[in-house]
Amino acid sequence: MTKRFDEEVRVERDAGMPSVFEWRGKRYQVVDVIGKWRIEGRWWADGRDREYWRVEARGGAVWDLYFDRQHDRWHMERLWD
Amino acid sequence: MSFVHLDVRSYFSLKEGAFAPEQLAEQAAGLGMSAVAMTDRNGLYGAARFVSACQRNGVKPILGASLTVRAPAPPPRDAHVVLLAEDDTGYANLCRLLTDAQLLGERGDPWVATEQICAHAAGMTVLLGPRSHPGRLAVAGRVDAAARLAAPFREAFGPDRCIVAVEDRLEAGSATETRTMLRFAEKLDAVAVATNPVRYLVPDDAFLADALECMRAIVPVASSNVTRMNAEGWLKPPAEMRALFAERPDLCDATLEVAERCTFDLGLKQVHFPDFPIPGGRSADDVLADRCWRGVHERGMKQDERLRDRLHHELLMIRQMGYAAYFLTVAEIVADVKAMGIMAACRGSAAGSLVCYLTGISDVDALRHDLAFERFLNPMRDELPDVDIDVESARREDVYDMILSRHGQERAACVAMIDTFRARAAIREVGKAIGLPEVEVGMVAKAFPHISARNIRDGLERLPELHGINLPMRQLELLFRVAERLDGFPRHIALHPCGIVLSSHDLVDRVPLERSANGHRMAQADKDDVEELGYLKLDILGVRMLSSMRHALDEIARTTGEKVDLDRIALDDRPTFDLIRASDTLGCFQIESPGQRELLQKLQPDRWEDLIVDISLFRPGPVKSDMIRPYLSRRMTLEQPSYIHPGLRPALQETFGVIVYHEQVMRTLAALAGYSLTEADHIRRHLDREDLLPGFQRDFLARATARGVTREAAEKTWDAVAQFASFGFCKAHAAAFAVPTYRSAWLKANFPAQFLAGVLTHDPGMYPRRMILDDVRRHGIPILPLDVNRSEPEYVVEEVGSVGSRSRCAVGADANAGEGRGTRVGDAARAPAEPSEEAVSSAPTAQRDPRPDQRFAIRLALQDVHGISDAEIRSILEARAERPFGDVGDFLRRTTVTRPVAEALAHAGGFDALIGSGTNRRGHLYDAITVDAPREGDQLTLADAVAPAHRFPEYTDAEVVRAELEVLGLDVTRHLVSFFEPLLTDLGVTRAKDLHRCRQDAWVMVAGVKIASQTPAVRSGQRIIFVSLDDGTGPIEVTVFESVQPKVAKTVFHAYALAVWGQLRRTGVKGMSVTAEDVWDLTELHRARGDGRLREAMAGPTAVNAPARRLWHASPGSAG
Repeated sequence: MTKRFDEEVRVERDAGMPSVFEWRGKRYQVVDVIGKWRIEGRWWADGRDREYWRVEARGGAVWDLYFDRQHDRWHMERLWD
Repeated sequence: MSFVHLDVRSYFSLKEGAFAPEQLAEQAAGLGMSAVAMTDRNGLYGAARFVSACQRNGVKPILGASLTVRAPAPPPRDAHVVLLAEDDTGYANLCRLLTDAQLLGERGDPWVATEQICAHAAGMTVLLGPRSHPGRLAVAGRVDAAARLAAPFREAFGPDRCIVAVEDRLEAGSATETRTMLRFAEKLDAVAVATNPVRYLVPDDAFLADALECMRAIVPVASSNVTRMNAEGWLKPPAEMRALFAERPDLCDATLEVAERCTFDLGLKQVHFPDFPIPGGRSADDVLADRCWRGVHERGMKQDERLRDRLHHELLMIRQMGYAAYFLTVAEIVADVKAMGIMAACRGSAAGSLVCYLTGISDVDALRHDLAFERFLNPMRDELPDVDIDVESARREDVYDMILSRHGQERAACVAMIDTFRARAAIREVGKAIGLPEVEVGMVAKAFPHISARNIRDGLERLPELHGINLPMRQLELLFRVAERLDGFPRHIALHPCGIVLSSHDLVDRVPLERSANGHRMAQADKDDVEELGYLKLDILGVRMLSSMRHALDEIARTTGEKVDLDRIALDDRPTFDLIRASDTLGCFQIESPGQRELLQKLQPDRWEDLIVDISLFRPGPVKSDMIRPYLSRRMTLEQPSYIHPGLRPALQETFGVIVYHEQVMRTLAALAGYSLTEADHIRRHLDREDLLPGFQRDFLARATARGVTREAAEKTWDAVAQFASFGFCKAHAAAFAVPTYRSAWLKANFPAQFLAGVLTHDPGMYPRRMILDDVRRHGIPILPLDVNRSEPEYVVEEVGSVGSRSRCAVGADANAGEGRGTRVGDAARAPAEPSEEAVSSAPTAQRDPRPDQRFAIRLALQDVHGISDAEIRSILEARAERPFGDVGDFLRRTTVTRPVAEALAHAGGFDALIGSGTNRRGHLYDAITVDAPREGDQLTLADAVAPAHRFPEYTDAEVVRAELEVLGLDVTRHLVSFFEPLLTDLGVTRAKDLHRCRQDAWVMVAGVKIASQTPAVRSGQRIIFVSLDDGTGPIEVTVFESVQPKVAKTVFHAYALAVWGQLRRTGVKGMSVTAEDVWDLTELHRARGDGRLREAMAGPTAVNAPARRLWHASPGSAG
């Protein structure tokens, strides 16, 4: 099952990769980076530019986070549990 | 940390890649890359430019292409593989494959089959990436099937040269794709390399790729149409590529090995001479020498020492430089062209060669005119010489077909021309792509003069007619952001208007060929590429004047039975020089412009050589630098010829001591300093090089003084050389031009009706047809009306008997006579509006009767009827060959002419001469619209038969002229301006012929029909509009500066007749122009005058009223 969100999160990076994130008042430790991709474009409309990280947090849940490069902030997009 | 990109598409992958080959080379060098490949889609268009840029930047170029591979099973699915050339064999194979891809299928849809690629594998490496057929299967998870499908490649190319290209585009599924592609490589037992599909050089340019993609597919830019997910398709630095493939460094190492293997050298600048097949093992040099000696006999030349020396000298140089086969090939082509009955003339410096004259390439005797061979062929020249041949414009395609079929694809092809984006086209296409309304985009695009897209933003601020355009600024910004970047991008590959590349048998091994829009074989190289690749070319230019003269000759033969051979006409024909001296030269080649006619008056040419001087002098440089004056005053013996040094007399005698020609610059240098002509031409060629000049000067002075020339004379000579060199003209060039110039003048002097019929038919010169028609009237040649039973496709000549009887059927003469205004030159009773001598020349030229033969009239042509097609014309000719048309219904039944065209024919009087039709022009028009004329397959049955016995009012004079303009674009019976006469009087207009009497800076009102307007790019950046008006007495030049444009621009662009209030300026020798202060629409004023509110109309804001399209339904408002 996946759940979709689009909420701001606070993310700490280590060596460029997310290492810890804080969501809804709880801290999650990243144990593995499963994937990374970028979405950029739509310059004719909103011009979105996102760097996606699929990470496994301690406890086994997989999260899709993205860094919004336009607005310089992190979002939580999806939780796979 | 190194890496070589092997999948890179430049902007020569049309509407895909977003950068120039040069930018690729520079960027690669900047990123420290040792090598980079360029692999455009189905072409090697950018190869020469890429290689040369790489050489400049110290990067090794790898040449390749991305080929479209079509799978045979239905439906055909296209995929792409990248092929890289390793050596000569590989490059030849690549070129031949691309040629096959382009020539075997439909034009614009190049493709090859896997088998074709495998059959040409030698010397190439193939990259099977995720966009190849096997790659696609692999990405879909079917690795085994992918390996099976790739087996033919593996077999043909071998384990090292069949390579799997693995990408990581950082898309959501990229990690998986990379893994399966690697498994596919393993399965195939093939090397894998890391690649990135490079389509732009930096991530920020990704938007360009989107715009291009959507423009290519003609879909709006939107998420659903943009395939790119992110901006990773750029030329990533080696470190980034290494980091991307950190787990498999071998994939990056492998790119270096591939690059190492690709050692192919395009060999730029090495000359590839054409070969000329010669039986019997004789050398081309021997054959050429034979031909020349034969030519000496054929041309009837005296075999003196001068000729022998000159010929030996030329042949020796040709032999040393290896050009014999080129001369033979060109001579053969010219002979072939002439054998087809097509006129051909050589232009340019080639006319300076005696060999060209003797082999029939040129018709200018280089010996007689003392032309320098070195100006044409010179071992010190760093560019290849080429020969320019003019042919009849109407037969140019036939000439191409003949050459291409005679010489085969191994040896000859047309040169391509890269059509690039400029502001208008960029705005239109981008506007469409980002979904802006077409009308507004069209307005924005049209408002721009032809400036480069880079300057669009400036243009927007400056163009008053764009203020208040209904588009949000944000969208305009977006439009310009894309459009300005497209400047210089290739839009499509077109046929160069004249170039043919000639090579030895290896053309297809070095240049891929494709088909042009009209089916000609064309090299994937433009004229600069051809030169870089070391090929010689032959320029075949279509020249309308030659077609006009051909038409005249045909008409002469048809109407008089006389077969004129222009090669053999007398070169000192009195009537011809009388005509030239009277500057009655409208329609003649090179000498018809107002400035030229003025020069002719001063120069008063009386021999052929004078035409050469005239053509050489009449160019902006000499006119501006006033070098004409010393020549003219010496010629008119107002001044004694003088020579700085007696040694210069032989070189400068013909021009009274003034340096006019390039050849004289060369001979002057040679005479005083003892240079060879080769060295002298080298110096002449570089006299514009500030850096080289002091060295040349020192050397010249030293040599000249050492030869006993005084320091003072040497210095003065050098100054003269340096001063005139940049303005001088190649005498050979002028002499070559003088041939058609003289011939056209000869035709006009001896067969004016036939000649002007040719000019009207082919429209060769600078004047619109209506001005030529004026000239026809002026020569007393009757103009016969359009007649469906008599008009031919072209303007033809009809014999109308003696002067007395001709006016019966002549519209022009008729109408004029009816108003008591003869067309006779110098007629004292001439009304001011009469199109007169001054209409075409503001100088008095009345000494000559321009009407040597009045037996002939010119019949208006069907070709100029608005909207008529060739097929319709054919059907008219076929039907009337059976029997003449009886009435409009008969015409409609027996031809395929559509109603609108029949209507136009009726409107312009095409049915007026039908005997027994019992009605007038308006009746014919009514018939053309309404008559029920069933014919096979005709769905169009309008109203019932004609209502019987209608009495239709006759056309008024104004209606007649408007109909002529509407249908033919010509005011046949009267000058258009004549309708505005009372208005012009009220306005106090100064006529064109009287303008020269006004003083400088005088305020004048002028008016006329707009005949031309242009807005050239001006260095200052200011936009200036130049408008030419014709008021029936001559042309008036009007200049509209930016300061008044907000007020008048719309009127200037949209009205067809203008009144202009402004200040008179004198420009140049006799030029005059009116600087506009205010501008009105003449028709608007005309209407206002009719309503008695002329004063208000002139005071009020200038308004635009576009002329109604269908004028004959509008109120005619005749002014009598």
